[in-house]
Amino acid sequence: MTGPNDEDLALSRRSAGGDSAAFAMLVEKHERPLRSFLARSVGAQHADDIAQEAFLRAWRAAGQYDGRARYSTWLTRIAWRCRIDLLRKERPAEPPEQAVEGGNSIEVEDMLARLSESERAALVLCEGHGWTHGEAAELLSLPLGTLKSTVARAKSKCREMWSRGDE
Amino acid sequence: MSDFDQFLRESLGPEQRDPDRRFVARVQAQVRLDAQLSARKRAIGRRLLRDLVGIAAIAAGFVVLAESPAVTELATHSPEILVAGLLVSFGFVVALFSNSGRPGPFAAD
Repeated sequence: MTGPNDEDLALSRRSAGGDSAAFAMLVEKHERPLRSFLARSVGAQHADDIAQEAFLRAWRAAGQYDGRARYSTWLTRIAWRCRIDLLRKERPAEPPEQAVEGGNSIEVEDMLARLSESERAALVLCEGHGWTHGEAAELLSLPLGTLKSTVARAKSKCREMWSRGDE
Repeated sequence: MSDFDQFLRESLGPEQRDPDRRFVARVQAQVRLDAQLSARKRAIGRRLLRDLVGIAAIAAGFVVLAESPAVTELATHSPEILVAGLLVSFGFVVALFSNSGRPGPFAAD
């Protein structure tokens, strides 16, 4: 019987053995959701650099992936640590706040720009990427209850902006 | 599911597109470079270890020689021969270690 992570586990094991073609398959499969999450949560200007660094670290640590979590979860954890390292080096500018003008349909970027970074990350993971609250709580180092309330707060803020923007 | 929930899900989900080949190629190039650097670091480590073992062996040899009665006698009666011998040995050791770092004529790139 094969598990849901078996294919990624096999590719990761081959990568650990030095098979860069196997690793390229993992990059092809996971770059889209990872870069999408990073672009939404930390901003497009840093997303690709962080994603690239995360894949490099994933390559170096390929032998440590044991298939218990989804590969995307494991990879996103690495990327989140890269983002923390980047924050230590330089404080990235928060996405610029954009005025929400009545009468126009509000863009999701405008909404996200008005949330805190943890609210953005929690909302994108749980609402957009189908992560469980437990997975997101672990990634963001938040207690489960705090994560749930963070998602609810972020969603409520977005709903408010959305209804104002739609008026 | 309300309109808002649907909007949120569609807006926040990963964009629908084919894999970005340029990004994949960039990561692959970085991975190859990283593998080369790691191999080079390992080679330097191995060479350093080999050199350290060599130096320790030569030092041990000198200690054993210095403690032998024949060498003690030579140092007493003809120190110039001993000094000349030490200089030749030192030159030999320097030549040996300075060559050990260079790739040989058949070394791979």
